Amino acid sequence: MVVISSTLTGDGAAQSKRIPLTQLARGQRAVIDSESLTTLAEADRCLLRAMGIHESCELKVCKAGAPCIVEVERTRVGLCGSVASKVFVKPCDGCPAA
Amino acid sequence: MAVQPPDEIEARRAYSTERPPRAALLGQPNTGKTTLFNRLCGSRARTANIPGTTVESRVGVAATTHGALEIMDLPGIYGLSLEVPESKLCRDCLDGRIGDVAPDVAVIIADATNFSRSLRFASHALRRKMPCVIAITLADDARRKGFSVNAAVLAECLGCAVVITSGRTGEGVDELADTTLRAALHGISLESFEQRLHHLPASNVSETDLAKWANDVLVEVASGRLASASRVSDRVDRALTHPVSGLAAFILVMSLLFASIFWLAEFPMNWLDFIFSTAGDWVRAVMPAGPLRDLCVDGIIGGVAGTVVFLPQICLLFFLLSLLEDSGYLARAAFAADKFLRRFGLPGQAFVPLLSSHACALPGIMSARLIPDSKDRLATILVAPFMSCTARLPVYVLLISLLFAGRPWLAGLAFVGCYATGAIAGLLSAYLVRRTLLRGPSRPMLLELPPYRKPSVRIALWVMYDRGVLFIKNAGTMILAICVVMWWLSAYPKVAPSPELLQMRAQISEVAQKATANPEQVKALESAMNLQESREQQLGSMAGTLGVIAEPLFRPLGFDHQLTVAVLTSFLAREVFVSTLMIISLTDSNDEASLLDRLTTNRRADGTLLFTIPTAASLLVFFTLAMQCLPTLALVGRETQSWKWPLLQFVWMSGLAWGMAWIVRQALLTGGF
Repeated sequence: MVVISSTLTGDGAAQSKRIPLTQLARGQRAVIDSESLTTLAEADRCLLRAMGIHESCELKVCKAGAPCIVEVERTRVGLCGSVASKVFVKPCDGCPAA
Repeated sequence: MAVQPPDEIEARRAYSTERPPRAALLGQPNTGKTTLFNRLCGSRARTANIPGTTVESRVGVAATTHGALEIMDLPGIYGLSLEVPESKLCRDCLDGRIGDVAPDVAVIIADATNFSRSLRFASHALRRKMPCVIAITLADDARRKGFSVNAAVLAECLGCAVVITSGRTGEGVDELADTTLRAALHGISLESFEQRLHHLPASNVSETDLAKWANDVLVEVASGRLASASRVSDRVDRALTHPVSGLAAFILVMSLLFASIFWLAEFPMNWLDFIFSTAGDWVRAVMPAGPLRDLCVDGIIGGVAGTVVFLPQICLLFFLLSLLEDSGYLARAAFAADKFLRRFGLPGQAFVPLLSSHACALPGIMSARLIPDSKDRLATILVAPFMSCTARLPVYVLLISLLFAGRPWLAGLAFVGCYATGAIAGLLSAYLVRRTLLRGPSRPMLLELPPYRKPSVRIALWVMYDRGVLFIKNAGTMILAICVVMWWLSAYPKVAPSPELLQMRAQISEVAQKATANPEQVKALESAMNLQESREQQLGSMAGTLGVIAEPLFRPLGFDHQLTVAVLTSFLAREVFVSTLMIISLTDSNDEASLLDRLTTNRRADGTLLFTIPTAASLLVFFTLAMQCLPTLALVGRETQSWKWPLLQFVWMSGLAWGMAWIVRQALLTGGF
């Protein structure tokens, strides 16, 4: 797994490496990094937020890779590779891949 | 929220304008908005473009205790402030910048099965200074899963009326209509608007804080907790989006869909064909011969029949699409197809219009309305007629039989080649148009995959009825007018009978007058005379004259003026080509072998064979790629609200067809054929 950066936060759930969404395994849970959506185009960022994929939200990977499918709250969203690779997440500890 | 006494409502109603108050349904996709709209308005709804736009909206009238309420179903959006065309359209519509009149009240849809997200959406919509009502949809579904919302507490929290509904069961629908009418008539004062704003988070709040606000409201108003999607859904999703099993499922579902449109619709199509031909025969029998009868039989009945005969395909397609969409599969199929189609500048959703166009381009183009992005939609509409439709089949059968007589394997390959050529030309044209005329970034695939649900046949029937009516309206106006003009061009001016024809007439009357006349012989002679008459009329009509004028254009493809007339008259509909060839070849036999025999021996004016291998091959390529369908062009003009796009489509497709046909002919001539 390629590590893009390693950021330690005060949040216990998210004290892990920051990786692109495409690198998560199926069933793995992660928290969207607070700065992660800034690399996306404005329109895509706003649409993702409106769909429920916003900073600090927790998601579960239903289909890994690119394109991928994630579940946030009770919404499943399919993301193309170009967007998913720019969304950075911190995998939740204790939530290993299924 | 305080309820106004009925007498006050009636008093205000009396002073209201001539039109009933208008409500706009505003909500996110997949939240049961359209189901609720159908429940509210039922068959009293119509689909139309929002005035001044190419975006369609359904408008209907709901009956309430205190009178009628007009309801407008706006496109599903994820947020009012998003910079996407649908969100902008909703904003403009709510502000009264587009449409004939601004809505008096907004009904904000909140999905009970995804309540936190719905609350975040509602918080933006409620910031508009207009009366609002929150309709909580899918309440029955949520309740079954152990989650419920207290409407009274939520109304207190948000400062507006809240009604719990279910579009599927009809729960709360009447109450919603009454509450919405009251809110529309009551209006909103500055004081109550300010009170409402007081309940909402600040407009510039971060998404994280907004989520926190929504969760706080949720804790206050809701009981129970919805579990995430089941493991079964997970497994089905994995299978349907897997590169192998997903593709197999996609091919299977689409094949079934395609087969249904192709074969199942054939029966009602045959019935319609029979009804129209019977009607034509009846009118021909009761009306005196003359131009008026010709106009009624050949122009109007013939023109409408040529288009309305596709109604079963359109109804069936939209019925099945509605079931697939409602079940949640359509979004998965779009997801599966996106990666491939994206390479050609088309979105995953384009697979439905492109596939449907293999049955007929008309329903295919209409189904392009499923595509959210306007550029993607336009690109799909422009290339959809490249797909080989059923109307091309008789032409393929005839020309391939000419080219590969007695070689079934090669004939089969040629069939596949025709379909492949159309599809490849369509995809490459999409690639080209997205990089030239429709430049700009494609909207990346960010697609909500709704939960799997049992599809509603009732909703599918509504959708089918709605689309069918819309198609009939199209056929009854523009398409009919164009068909009549095209008929007039091929029927006028009336040509004086040639000496050959006069001789045939004399021969028939002579044979008929004989006491020993054989009725079969008379019938055969009459049939031959009618064909000769049709041939002379066709070649002498304005379309025939155009054929003579256009012949130099088609000469490089090996077409003579007769073949050029056949190509021009088939512009009305491709299948006309075969009947025109029958007339030109002077055979009325439906037997393919008989027609083939006549065609293979048909000669030009200079005595050379007309259908040589290079000419037949170039004709086949021309028909595979050319835009030979007037109803399709008329529909594209209607869908794009511009004549620029159908004109471009016609020029590009016909130009490409001409170029490719010329290349094929030259290659074959060079190869010694």
